[in-house]
Amino acid sequence: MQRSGHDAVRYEWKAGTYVPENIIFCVDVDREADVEMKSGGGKLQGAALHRMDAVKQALLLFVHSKLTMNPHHQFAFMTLDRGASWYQREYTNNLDIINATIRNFSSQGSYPQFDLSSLLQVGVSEARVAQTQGRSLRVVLVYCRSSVVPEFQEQLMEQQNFTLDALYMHDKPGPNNCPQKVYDALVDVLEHVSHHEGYIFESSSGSARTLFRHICLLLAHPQQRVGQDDFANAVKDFALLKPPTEPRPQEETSNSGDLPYSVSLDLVLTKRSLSWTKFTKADNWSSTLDEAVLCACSGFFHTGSVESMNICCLPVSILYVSTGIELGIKLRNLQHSGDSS
Amino acid sequence: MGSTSKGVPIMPALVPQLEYLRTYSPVPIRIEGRQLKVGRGVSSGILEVLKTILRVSSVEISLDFATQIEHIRRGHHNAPYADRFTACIPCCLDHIKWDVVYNYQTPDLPPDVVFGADDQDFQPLLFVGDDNAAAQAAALGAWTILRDWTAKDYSRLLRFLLELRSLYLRHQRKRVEFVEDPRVRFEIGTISAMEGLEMRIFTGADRSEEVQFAIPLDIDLTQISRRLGTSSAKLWSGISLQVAFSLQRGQTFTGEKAPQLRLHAPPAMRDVFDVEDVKLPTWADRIYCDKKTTIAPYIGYPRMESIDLLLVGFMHVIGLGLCTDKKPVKMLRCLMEYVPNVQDILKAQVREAITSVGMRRSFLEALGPVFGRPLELETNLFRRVSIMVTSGLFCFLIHFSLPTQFPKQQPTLTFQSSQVKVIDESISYLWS
Repeated sequence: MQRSGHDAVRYEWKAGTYVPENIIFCVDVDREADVEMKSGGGKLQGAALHRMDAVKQALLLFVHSKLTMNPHHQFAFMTLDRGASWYQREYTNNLDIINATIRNFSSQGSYPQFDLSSLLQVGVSEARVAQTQGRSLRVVLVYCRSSVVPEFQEQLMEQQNFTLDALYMHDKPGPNNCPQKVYDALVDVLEHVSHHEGYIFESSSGSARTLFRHICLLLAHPQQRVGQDDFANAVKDFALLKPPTEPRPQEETSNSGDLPYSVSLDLVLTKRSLSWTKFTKADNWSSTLDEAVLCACSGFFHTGSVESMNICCLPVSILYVSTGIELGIKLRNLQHSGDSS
Repeated sequence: MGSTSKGVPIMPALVPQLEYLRTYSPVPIRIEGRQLKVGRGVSSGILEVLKTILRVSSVEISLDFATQIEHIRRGHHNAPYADRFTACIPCCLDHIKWDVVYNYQTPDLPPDVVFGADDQDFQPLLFVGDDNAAAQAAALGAWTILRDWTAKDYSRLLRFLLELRSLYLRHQRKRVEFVEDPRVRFEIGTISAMEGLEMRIFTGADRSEEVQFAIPLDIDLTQISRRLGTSSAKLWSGISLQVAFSLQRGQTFTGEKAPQLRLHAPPAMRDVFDVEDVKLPTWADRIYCDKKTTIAPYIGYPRMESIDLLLVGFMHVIGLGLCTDKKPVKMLRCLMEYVPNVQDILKAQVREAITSVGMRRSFLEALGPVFGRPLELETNLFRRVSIMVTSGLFCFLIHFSLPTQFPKQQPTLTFQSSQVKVIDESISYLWS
């Protein structure tokens, strides 16, 4: 790792090691998936949100995000009742099929037992097939039962050739349930079985926002993961960063000893709002990449409440500066382009 | 494989021959049809082997290889087995279709091959008497394969089709050589010895005809193969230039008319270098000589390249007005001097594409100190990285996408909210 002038970590990556994923979502269809969630921030209109509804939204968010990262990732689906059963057996990246599959999930009954062994066995065989195709396999468990501790055969508790993640939504601990035991069992399985670092997130708060945050963290490619706590702590919070108020003098922005490279990024927002004054000065040409993009991001999200942020933040591609001002960016350690216009 | 998409069992002797063809063919022969469906009685073991060999998937279907199995059909609805199929044979950067017909009642006999309607005069086995040694050898090879045919040798079908392909290319070359157009004859005369050159007469749907050349370009793709992490087989065809001279009916001279030019490259290359982004040099006439030259001095003109001498002679023959009154003359373009020009341009652009990979890598690695550890970074070609950031309680994603022509073309940033409800790709807002 190299230390940059920001005194932050610069990550270096080994070329040629990246493979697309086959991801199997295993969704709990026990009645506890019908428990109502909290409404979250802002006003929630319409019917109450149940765990299964939130899980569906989380899965859709995951799939859409993952396919934006790489359209060659593929997905299959299983349900969890007494064991694991195939729901959508063929891996696909077809959004129509995936949307229809996810929409059709629903709770099926109460299951006082859950045997994880069948799921682990499926993972082992599917991982072998994935490897022959130059892909990696990941199994994501979505579990909702607060009193049913997963069972598994001891002989399966050794490191396998796939990555296992888990999302656990449960009730608050009480005399009639044992979510801590369930959580401990899931952690135990992950630690023993998962090939790469497996992530597990639990929530008793019933907050959909928390679930969506957790599902975003699960987007992390297993081959490139670090420890779960390290990764979660590495997520930057732009609210804590101050955008520059004045442009730096030219000589201060030059990277002494480095070869600057000029790349211009046009950043435009498709919607209203924002105070653009901080972006209009031509001197911003000398801003570094981090400042320029942080300017855009912080201005973007300083418009006010969550509601207006949601409206502004559209999942569409390409954002351009609405004022048409180019932001010149200097990056370190790249060859000079010779063109700063 | 064991049955067609409609559950009809395939003639057992044919199955291993098709598997061999798809696994070992040095050229991309495609078996036309739809995606594989599992029929009754197909063992899961065979299915897995086929999927492993052919990488059948709803996404990764490469047009370079016969990864789609099917349209293997039977002769009539009462036949118990499917025993015939359509093979798409690569020719001149296109595919021609031949029907390969076995007989399930005599599986040990070789198949019949039915050529296209426009190839009525293609008689492959008559090339035994051809004056071209390679054609003779191919014809003899085909004869021998048929004479010694055995269904137990799974390689025979592939070898037979390859010999027929070789003979077909020879047949098309002879057709082109008989074209009376002096322009086409001149071009053939100058490039016919080029290795790997293919040519044919193509008849369009409107019965218009054109002479097509497929010229393989000498571009080293080793670096691109290495970046793609793939074997050279996926880039087997390299980059080729397709040139088409249209033959107008009633006219025997394409003359000064510019041909249609197009670059072809394996689709696998697109993530590193896309030939669609290459601007070919214009096929514009050149102003060559100055006022003082006349015909006679051309012959001994010290600065004249040999190809220009040929061009001068050609232009004289076709009466395109050489300089007789001390005026500058327009020189025609020809393939022999155009192709090296294209090669030089492509070599430079391939070098830039390779350099761009390193620059993209540096750019993406430089994002770490600012945005934190990414969720996913594509480390083969460094085209994409995705990062999760928050703003207080709000969590969102930033996707960076870098074009192959980075840094000449700028990156694209996509911001994606975690709070947006997505159903059927239409967007609504959870809390709006």
